[in-house]
Amino acid sequence: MSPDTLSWFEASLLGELGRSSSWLFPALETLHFLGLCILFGSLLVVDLRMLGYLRGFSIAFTYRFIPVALFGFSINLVTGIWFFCVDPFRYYPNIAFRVKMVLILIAGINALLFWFLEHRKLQSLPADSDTDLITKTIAVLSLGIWVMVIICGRMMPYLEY
Amino acid sequence: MGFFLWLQETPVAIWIQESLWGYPSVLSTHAVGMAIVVGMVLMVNLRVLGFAGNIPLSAFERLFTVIWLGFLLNFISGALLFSADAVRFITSTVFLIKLSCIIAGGISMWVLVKMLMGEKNTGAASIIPGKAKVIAAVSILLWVGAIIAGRLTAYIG
Repeated sequence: MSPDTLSWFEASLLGELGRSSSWLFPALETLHFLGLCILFGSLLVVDLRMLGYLRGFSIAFTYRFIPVALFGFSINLVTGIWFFCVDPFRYYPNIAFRVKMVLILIAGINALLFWFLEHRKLQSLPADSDTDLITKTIAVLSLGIWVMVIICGRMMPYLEY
Repeated sequence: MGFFLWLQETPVAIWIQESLWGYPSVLSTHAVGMAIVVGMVLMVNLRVLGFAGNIPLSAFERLFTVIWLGFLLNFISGALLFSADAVRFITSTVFLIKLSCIIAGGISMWVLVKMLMGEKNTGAASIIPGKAKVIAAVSILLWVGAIIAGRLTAYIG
């Protein structure tokens, strides 16, 4: 991203609003934390069922939590972009921020693979059957990546120069 | 107050205050534990309120083990974080509000387990009493309150 693009983000309305108010930024941070809890909690339900830790009911029943996960992600996407607008020159070079963004992309690809290749197959499995290795891998990747995203996020203030 | 002053001077507390990675790693652990506890609590409470109703309530029982593990993680990481700045935290109103929300939130989850888990609710069409739904709603507010107070602890006091 060029310095001009970063300046564009910085000069945006979101950036101005975020910098001008003392309570807005903490409020956005709180929303960001809530969003991540909603995202992670809902994914835990789906992924723990895919791993077979939860059992005795159709995997398809957990799909009700996928919109919840998307809702949590949307909160964090909006607040995240807002943070970036407040101080893009601080976030952009930050190694923890960059790793976090790449991990989120990988998590997204993992989710798309699940949706387009796996989710329909799993729907027709009997309630008590075990899941195959691919399913379990997708679930482990999902949880593992999001845990690393949380850690990267928390590390960001400590990797500034 | 003497106890909290002493706590801040213990080797573990000093390590967290002074080492390059001590504080960030304990803080990161605390964030992951928070995601597990509050995330799972929110989903369990949503189920009690009727969301995803065709998942049998008893199937969610195993989630409580995960919640407990997350809580243990945060109890330990929280104690470590507390020890590094004990005097400031124990005199911070916002922090005490956070602890109160967590204790009350924990009690609400315990009450829900007592009311809903066990042999009586193994069917898919488990009947959830209205009282349980009220407790689930209150529980959500308490845990959200814990997150808000937790974030504000960094800014106030």
